[in-house]
Amino acid sequence: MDNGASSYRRFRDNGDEHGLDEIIIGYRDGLMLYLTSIVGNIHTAEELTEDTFVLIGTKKPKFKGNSSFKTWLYTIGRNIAIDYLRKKSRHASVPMDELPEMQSDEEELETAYIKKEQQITVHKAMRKLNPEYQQILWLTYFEEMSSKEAADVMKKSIRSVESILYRARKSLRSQLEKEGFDYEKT
Amino acid sequence: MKKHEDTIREVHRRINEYEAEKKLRRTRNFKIAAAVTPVCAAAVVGVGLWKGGALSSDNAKMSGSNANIIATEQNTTEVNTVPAVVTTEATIKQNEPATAEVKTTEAIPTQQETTEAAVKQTEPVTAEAKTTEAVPTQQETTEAAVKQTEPVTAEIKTTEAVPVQQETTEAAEYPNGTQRDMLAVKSVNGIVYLQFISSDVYTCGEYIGESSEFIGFPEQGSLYRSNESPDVIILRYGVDQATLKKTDISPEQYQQEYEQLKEMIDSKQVAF
Repeated sequence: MDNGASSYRRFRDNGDEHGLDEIIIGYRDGLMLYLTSIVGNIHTAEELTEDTFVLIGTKKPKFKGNSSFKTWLYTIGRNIAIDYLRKKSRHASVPMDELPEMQSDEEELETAYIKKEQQITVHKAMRKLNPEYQQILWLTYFEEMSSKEAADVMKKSIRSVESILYRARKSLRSQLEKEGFDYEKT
Repeated sequence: MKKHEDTIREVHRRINEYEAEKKLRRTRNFKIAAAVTPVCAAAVVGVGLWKGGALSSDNAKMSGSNANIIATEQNTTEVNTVPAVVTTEATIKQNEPATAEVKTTEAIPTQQETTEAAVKQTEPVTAEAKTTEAVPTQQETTEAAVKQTEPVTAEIKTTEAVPVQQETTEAAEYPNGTQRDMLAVKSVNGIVYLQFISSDVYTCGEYIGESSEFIGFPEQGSLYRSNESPDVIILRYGVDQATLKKTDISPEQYQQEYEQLKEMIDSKQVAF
């Protein structure tokens, strides 16, 4: 699989369902962790990730190639998450963040997707920052997106993204120091 | 948390569910459209007919009165067709196609010879005449109306515009070979009328006076206004009845006409 665009084209234009399968396999975990940074809940993020794939499977929106496929897919996922948060704000719900099984799921996903122990520690520290910092750090350091791509996904200007990233880095550093992470060694 | 395979299976299940629902919705919409479209079409046609006046009761009344009009004008046509033939000839000689006039001449067999002769000289007219005949449905439905009603206005105008032609036409014979009472110009209280000996069913209204008191009338007879039309005067003499219809000829024109016709009237070429 290349960057996912060709798989999606096969699925959309030729009706090849394996194209969609490849996209799910390639992007599910990263998208889920990104959406977790938005909604703050791994299970909700999982549902929203599924919704994202169902949306591109049913509506089959056109991928114009103006950005990378990942940027495009994450933008769709983010929009779905924002819609979810908007609806959720209208209906008061019981917070589920504290459930122990959720924590284990997230750890499992971190281990599977991030792999490096050091990065897992950073990700854990990130989870305590505000959602906007989490998003920008995730996109920039874990998904290795450029400032422009991150700006596209988050629907912000590049200057604004760079500013948020700067503040997010500072916040993450203080959080890591607070947790006793030996920042100088890394 | 689900495995990749579970997610894939779940995503495909939801996509299939969505497609099935979409198909069901499309089928349902199609059925609704199929049921509603004929009703809407019928409504549109109904409204169209209603707005067009095809369904109104006035329409039926109008067609009834139209029939009366045709019957009435039929009588006037019989007398008036003669000047129209003269006009037709003039028109045809100028190579101007005139379908209406050709139709008019068909109503008067005695005039056909001259018309046909003229038609032979000018091919376009023949073509038009053929074209007219090639539409049998029109002829069937409107033949009576066209032949009898169309010339009425045109021919009266012709009479008014070309009064000299009256002299030539008044002596013409009718198809049955009888000399009939013909057109004459009358003046009643300064208003000029054209006289038709006809079976017009106008009922007599106000008595005007004895016919001998007016110019160009027989000595024995009475004049009445018509109850049906203000433009009609009825002349009664013995058991006969003549209808006088108002014309646009001015009194001056009338005087000229009368001088020309007086001789004919006196010599009984034009009777009453």
